[in-house]
Amino acid sequence: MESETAKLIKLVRAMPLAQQLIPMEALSGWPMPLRRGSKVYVHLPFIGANQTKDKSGMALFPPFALVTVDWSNGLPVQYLNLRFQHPWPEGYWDNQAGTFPHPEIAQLPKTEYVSKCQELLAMYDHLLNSLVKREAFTPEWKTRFSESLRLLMEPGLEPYYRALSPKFFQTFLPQSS
Amino acid sequence: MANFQATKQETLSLLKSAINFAKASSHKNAVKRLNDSHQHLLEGKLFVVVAGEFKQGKSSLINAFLREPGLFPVDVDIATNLVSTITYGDAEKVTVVLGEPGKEKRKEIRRSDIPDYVTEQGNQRNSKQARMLVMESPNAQLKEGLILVDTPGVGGLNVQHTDITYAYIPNADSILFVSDAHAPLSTEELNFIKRISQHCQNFIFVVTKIDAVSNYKSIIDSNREKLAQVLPETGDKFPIIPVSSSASLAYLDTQDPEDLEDSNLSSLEQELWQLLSQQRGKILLLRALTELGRVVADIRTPLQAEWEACQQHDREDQTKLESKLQDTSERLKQLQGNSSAWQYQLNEGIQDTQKELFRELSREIEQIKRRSQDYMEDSRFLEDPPQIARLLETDFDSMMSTLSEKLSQKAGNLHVEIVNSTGLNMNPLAIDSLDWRNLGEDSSEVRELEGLSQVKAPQADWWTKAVDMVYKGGFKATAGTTVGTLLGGTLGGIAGLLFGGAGAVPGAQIGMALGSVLGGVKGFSDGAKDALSQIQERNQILAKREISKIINPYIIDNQLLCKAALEDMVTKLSRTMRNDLQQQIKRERELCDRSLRSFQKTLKLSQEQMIRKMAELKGPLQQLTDFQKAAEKLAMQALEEAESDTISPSDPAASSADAASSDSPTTPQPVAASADYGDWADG
Repeated sequence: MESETAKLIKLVRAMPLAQQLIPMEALSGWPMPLRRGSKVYVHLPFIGANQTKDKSGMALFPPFALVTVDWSNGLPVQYLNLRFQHPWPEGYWDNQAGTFPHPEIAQLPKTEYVSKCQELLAMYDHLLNSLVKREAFTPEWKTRFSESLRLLMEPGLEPYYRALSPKFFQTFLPQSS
Repeated sequence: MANFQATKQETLSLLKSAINFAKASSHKNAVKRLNDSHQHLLEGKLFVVVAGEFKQGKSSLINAFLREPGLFPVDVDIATNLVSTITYGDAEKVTVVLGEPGKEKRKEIRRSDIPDYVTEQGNQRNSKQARMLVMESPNAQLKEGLILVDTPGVGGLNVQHTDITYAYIPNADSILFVSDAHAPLSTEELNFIKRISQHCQNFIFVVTKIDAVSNYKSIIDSNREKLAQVLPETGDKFPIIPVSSSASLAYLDTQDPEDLEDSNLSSLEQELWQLLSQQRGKILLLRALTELGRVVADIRTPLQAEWEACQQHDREDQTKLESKLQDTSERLKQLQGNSSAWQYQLNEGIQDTQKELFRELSREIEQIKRRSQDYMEDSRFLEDPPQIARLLETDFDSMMSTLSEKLSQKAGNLHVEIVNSTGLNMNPLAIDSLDWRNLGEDSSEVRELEGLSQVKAPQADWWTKAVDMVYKGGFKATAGTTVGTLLGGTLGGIAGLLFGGAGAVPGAQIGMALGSVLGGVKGFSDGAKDALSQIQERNQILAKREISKIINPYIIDNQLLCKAALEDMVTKLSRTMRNDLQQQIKRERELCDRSLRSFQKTLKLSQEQMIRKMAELKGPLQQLTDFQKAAEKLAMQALEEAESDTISPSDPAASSADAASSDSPTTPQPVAASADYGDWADG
């Protein structure tokens, strides 16, 4: 069964807003949650991508846009052009930040990779719904989520993700200061 | 437990026998302690809250349960926002509490006047300012200490009704949630159940009016399925009892056994008593039995010392026993000192608890602030601004009830830790010699001395469990708390008097403090409600701005009030726990010294005098042994249900085990207090 988060990403991509502003070849990144009061929102980054010269994968560039949607109804509440305003010092927009697939996942069979992605997206459902209900996360669940995110997140994009949602990544992928 | 009512009667009768014995042997202090214990058990209250939507048959159910048709009015429109309580009394007495908060007055009324206060027809929009109805009745169903609380309905946007019901939940020993067989549980009902399940999970779901529909079984199936979703921790273990109150009441007229069977009320009674026996009832019994054990041991120990002195031990054994008693006395003297380790343990434990509760208070206040913003976004509340103050009042009430319950639990745990580390938890019912006063030292040598009793278990598991249960349960707030929760300090005090004191002192203190703070919250709320009712602004943005000007200071005032009250609760509780432990140590030391003196005095007797002494001692010691054995048997009986219980959803150990074994990444799991609630996502 398709997760709510996967459906939301598809919904965002299908919105006129995204069709106008986000190139078709751009990839959507991993969502980042935000809670304000009783409302939970999802930051969805978009990442520039081109096929690599040797056609072995996709060259990834820094995120160039961030769409924020209301998790309860999927309505967009913010579009941020990261080339215009970004939380990192300089935007080397043309420098390749990473490659998809990165070595850790390149070795996985496609079916297994897809299944792991689905699993992580399903865990996002739980994450976002729990934030709405203010239910606590068990340490076991957090560990599973962290492991899954660590495996699937492109290492080259990690600094950008951290800049976009420092607390989320420090919680699930902690870095010693 | 075989049967709470029967075990309670046996315990009361055992206490009476022990009182007579103590009187006959002129142990005045023991008589007083045993009388107190007897009274506490007799008055021990078991709170059963009857909740549910309007017109679901709650009042009819109570009438049927009490076998008193027409006691509470039925077949009327929605009742007013009046909680009615009914408890046992020698004669019928109905009191209505009237007036503004802080200026309440009690008025005795006749039973026939009840509808004039509790129904919408008799008391439109509560023009009579009735706050609560308290009934005492010589009804046999209530004799074992039941307090039935009939609450107004929940649901809809009738905040006044709902918040009063919420206020009663945290200290309920059981909740009878009533819905009727006409329809499955609604979303509003399920939301209510989910919310109150955070405070009390001892639900019995009652489906009424089963005589009115043919397909009530499918309604029950549907309810079970829905409840399994909102109460995932319980699986499908919660009881759902279909009843027909009208068949039960018809039975009173016809005496036709078929009517009684059709009513299925006996199943409900059985389920209710089983649940109460497993919970508060057990604590009431164990509190009485452990106190009986201590008093009997206090009488027995000096006699036992004399008995030991009369035995034909050699000089070496006598010296050993004497020096053991002296060492114990010395250790108890050290425990009495202000620099004793347990004093530090208590201070540190209290400080940790306070820090933790303050952190939680801050977190909860932040949530209330966010919720206040949500309320102000809601157009329904913007049209009726006083509703916002009512909702926030409920939020504050609920927060303080939860925090006070956590404080009670932590204090109980701390007390148990301290009595364990000091050795004050030794089992007085298991003494076979004087070795139980050795406070943790290896006493095997002393135990070799010949004793009178054949009981050979100095530290039985059941005793530890009983003491744990009594203290951890004993610090819980009591009847006064619940009433205080709703009505604030002044009225809480009045109602506390009506119900009689039944709980441990610390619990009552938390109750009083809680009652007082909630009274304060209510006072602030009333002020805010008045101010909010003046807002006439139709433009929602401007209205919101006006409301903010009132609500923001209201939240700050309440925050300060709650923080001060929490500090006050912790301080008082700490003082009470310290006094309690000091008293216990003092008693132990006096007893030890008395036993030592008896022992030394008896050693000086001649052979002939010793024989006479033994003859004198034999009868009383045998009788005391019989008391001990009977108390032990009853305590085991009270505990045995716990051994066979299925794991309770509120059992933290069970919760963490569940969490650890869960495979599903999408299932929310119960977690510990220091859990991650996703605050990192707040921005």
